[in-house]
Amino acid sequence: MEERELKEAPQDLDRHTWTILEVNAAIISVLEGVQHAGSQEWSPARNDGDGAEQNQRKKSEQFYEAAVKQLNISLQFLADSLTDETEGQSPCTAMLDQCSTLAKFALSNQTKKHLASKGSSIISAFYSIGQWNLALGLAMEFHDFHLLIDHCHKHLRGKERAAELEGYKKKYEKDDFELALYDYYCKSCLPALPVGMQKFHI
Amino acid sequence: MLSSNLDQSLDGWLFIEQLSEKVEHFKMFLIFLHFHGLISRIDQPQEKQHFVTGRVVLTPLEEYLFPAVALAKFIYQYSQDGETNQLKVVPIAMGEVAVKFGRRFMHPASQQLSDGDYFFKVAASHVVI
Repeated sequence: MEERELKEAPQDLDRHTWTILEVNAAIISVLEGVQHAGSQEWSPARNDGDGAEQNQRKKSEQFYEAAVKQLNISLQFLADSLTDETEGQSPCTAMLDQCSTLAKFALSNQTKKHLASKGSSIISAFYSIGQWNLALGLAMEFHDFHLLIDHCHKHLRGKERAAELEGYKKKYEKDDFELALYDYYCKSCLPALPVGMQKFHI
Repeated sequence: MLSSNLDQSLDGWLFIEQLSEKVEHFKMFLIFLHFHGLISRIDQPQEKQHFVTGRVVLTPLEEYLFPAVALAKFIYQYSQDGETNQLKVVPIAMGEVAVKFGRRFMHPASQQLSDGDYFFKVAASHVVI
C-alpha cells in the first residue's frame, strides 16, 4: 500500500515525506505494542523454564519483512534528500529517529555472530548517509565489527587509530573482535599484518 | 454495504473500547491461571487441541491483541490533531484490508460495522489473518 502511495506522488515532496513518516509511525506503534505485550508479568510469552519453546516459536516474519522494507524505503529517501541544509530540519530528524528505532528492531532479530562476520547493510546505510555517530552506536550495540574497523582505518590515523582498536579489542574480548580484525586485514589486502596480528597467521 | 469511511467509526471509538475489554478479559484469564497455579499446565499438549500447547495458542493472541490496541490508539491520537496532521495513508490501507475481511466475515446482521470494526475484529484475533 505504502509503495503504491509513494508512486502516486513522486513529485510532491511534502506528501512523499509525510507518507513515509506516517507509515513509519504506524509500524513503530505496532512494534511498541508487541514489546509491551511480552513485558507483562502475566504474559504467556514469559516462560519461567528454559525458554526453549519461546525461542522456537515462529516469529512474525511478515511483520519483520514489512518493517525492514519500510526501513529501506526511509533510508533511501534520506539518502536522496538529506543534505547539509535539510539535516537539522524536523522531518529529517524525525525520520532518522524512526529509522533508528526500526533498525534496532531489525538488528535485534539477527544474531550477533552473523553481524560480527558479515556486517549489516542497514548500519552501512546509516554510515553512508553521513550519520556516523548513529551508525557507530548501532555497530557497537549489535557487534558490526567490520564497520567499526573500517571507520578506524578510513578516518583515524596513527596512535588515535591504534588506541581505538585497542579499546575495541578489550571491550569485545569475548566476542572474537580480533578474528574480525584479522579477517578485515586479509580481505583488504594490506601489505603486512600489523604488529600483534601475526599470531593469527597460519 | 460496507462503510468506506473510517472516520465515521472513529467518532464513536467503539473498537478501542472493545479492544480494551478484550485485553482485560485476556489479562483476567491469565491472572486467574497464575493465581490458581494452573499456568504450568498450559505447557502440556492436549489431544483436543491437536497436540498444541496452550502457550502456543495464547502467545500469538497476545501478540495480535496488544499491537491492535497500540495501532488504534495511534490512529486516535492523530485524529485529535488539527487538519495538518491528519493521517492519510494508514486509514486508506486499513480500509482496503477491511473490505477484504468484510467480504469474508460479514454477517447479514452486522451491516452497521465500519471498516475500523472489521479491521480490528480480525487484527485482534489469531484465528484467521
